[in-house]
Amino acid sequence: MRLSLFSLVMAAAILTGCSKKPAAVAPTPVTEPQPAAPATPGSSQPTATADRAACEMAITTAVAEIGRAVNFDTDKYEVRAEDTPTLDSKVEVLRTHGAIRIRITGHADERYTDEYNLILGTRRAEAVKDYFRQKGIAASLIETASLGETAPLDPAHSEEAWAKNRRAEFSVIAGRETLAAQIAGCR
Amino acid sequence: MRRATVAGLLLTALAVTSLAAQDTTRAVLRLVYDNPKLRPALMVLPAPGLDSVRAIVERDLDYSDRFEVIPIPVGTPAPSAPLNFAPYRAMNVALLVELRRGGAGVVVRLHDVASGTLRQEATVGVETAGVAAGRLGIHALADELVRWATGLPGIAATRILFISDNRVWRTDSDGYGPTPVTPAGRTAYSPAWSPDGRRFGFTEFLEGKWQVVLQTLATGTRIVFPTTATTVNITPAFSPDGRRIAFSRVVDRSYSLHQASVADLCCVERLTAGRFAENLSPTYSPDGRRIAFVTDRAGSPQIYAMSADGTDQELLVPYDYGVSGASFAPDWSPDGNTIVFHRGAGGSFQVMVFDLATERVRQVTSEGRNEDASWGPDGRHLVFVSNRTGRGQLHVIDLETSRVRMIRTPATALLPAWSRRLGGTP
Repeated sequence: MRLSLFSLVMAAAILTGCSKKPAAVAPTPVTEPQPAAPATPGSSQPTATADRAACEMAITTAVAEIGRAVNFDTDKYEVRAEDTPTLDSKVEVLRTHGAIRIRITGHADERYTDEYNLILGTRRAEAVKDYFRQKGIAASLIETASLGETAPLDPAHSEEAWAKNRRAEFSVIAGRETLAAQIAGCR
Repeated sequence: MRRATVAGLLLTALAVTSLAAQDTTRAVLRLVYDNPKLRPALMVLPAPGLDSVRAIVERDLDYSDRFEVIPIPVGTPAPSAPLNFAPYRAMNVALLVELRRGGAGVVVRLHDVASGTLRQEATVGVETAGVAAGRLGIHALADELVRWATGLPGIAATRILFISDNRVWRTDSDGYGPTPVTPAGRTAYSPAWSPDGRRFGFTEFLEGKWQVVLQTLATGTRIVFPTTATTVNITPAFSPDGRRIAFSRVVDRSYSLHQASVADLCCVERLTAGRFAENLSPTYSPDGRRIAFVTDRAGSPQIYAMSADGTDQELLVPYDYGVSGASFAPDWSPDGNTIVFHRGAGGSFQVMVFDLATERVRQVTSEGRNEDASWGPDGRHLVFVSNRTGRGQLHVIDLETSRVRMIRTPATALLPAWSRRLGGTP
């Protein structure tokens, strides 16, 4: 009962892509590598709780890493150097949990013309996808989409808002069950 | 000073000097009508019991931009029968519109003031309560009046589709009754009228893909255009005979133009080739033989044209390389002679009109940011989006007189599309 509820909560978190930082647990972009696989339930009782907590934390972190957006410069679609650590964390998650498929959705700020911004969004999503492919992630695991300027994070007409809106967002579109099973495997 | 005064003096002078006023007056009136700067002064007489019809007709005639519409002075009595023209001659009015209840509906009369004659009359069966369904009929009545007076029908019986809150909305072209026609909770874009006015196409974002949807206005019935649910499709446009639809579709990561059969709901064919250029925003010429579109194959997005089978692709609207801004959203005029589009200028966007014969580009807006223009069916009015009032709102401009009016919508409006004449049926 408790198990499946937890999985449900995690699945929900994965679905929303965790673009907002989850409450207490989310770290700033991690530089140390993630554990290669969740720890299988140990037989030694005294450390079972600690192992499980570490295991669940690892997966929560992985999900948060997937969901974190990256931003772009005005009128540009190239991946910025400062975003590569974030993208590298995502690469690690994708390598670790090989059954996940993700969608990268590119967005633009409101300033350029409406319909052409759909293309800018596509270019941004494709640029991030190219980065992942260069790191060895199979193209079949990654979908791209564009919402142009139709879904701003911040509707204000300011440089600050525009900078937030120029982004690529990430969501898991398949393989959620695998993650849930891996969380269940933490028990 | 009213423009009408000049016309009025001209007419009065001629009426006095020529006894056989009829033919001369008609010739002079035609001269006046052909010069947009000299518009005949027109009055819509009081119409007891038909006040809302009268108000709609008067506004439609004003919005046609072909007349100097004079509001009725306070205290003007209902017209007598027969009409007394003298006071109107004194006011330099050229045309009088009379509306009366009668017979099977409304009796409409157009009078020549100078000659004191009835030019034309008709009885029109319109819903006189002015409710939404009846308004198109009243607009059609006004369009007929314009045709009687000028030889060309008006454009009041038309509607405009646009995007607001990520939904497709519809409004009458006088701004009455903006209404969403697609559901909330989805993202819709780029509405395009089917030429028969009964359906429209648009793109809808679903599960990461933009698909082309055809929707019937009267029933709300939708069809997702087959094979457009599996990839990204944007900027649809119907051919003038309504049988084909052109749109941009992602193939191998680039946007290329395609064309499909609306009649058979199939048969998507690719029109533009090449992997590293983007092509979008097609618009057909009125004879259906050519398509103008946007492509960035030479660097910045500019307006090209091709035959409707994809051959003979060439630059259409000239630009100064490295100087001119990028060009977007072309719309081919109803008479085939011009293309309206918008171009980057002075850090913003402005609406431009390109003349195919002279190959000259004319800037027609300057205040604020202006884009996404769509032709009215008279080929002289444009609806476009401007932020000159602070937020993106629909504006209509008459290219002959430069008069601009705003269409008020509840929220920011984008991507308008003006229908053809819809006649009197909703």
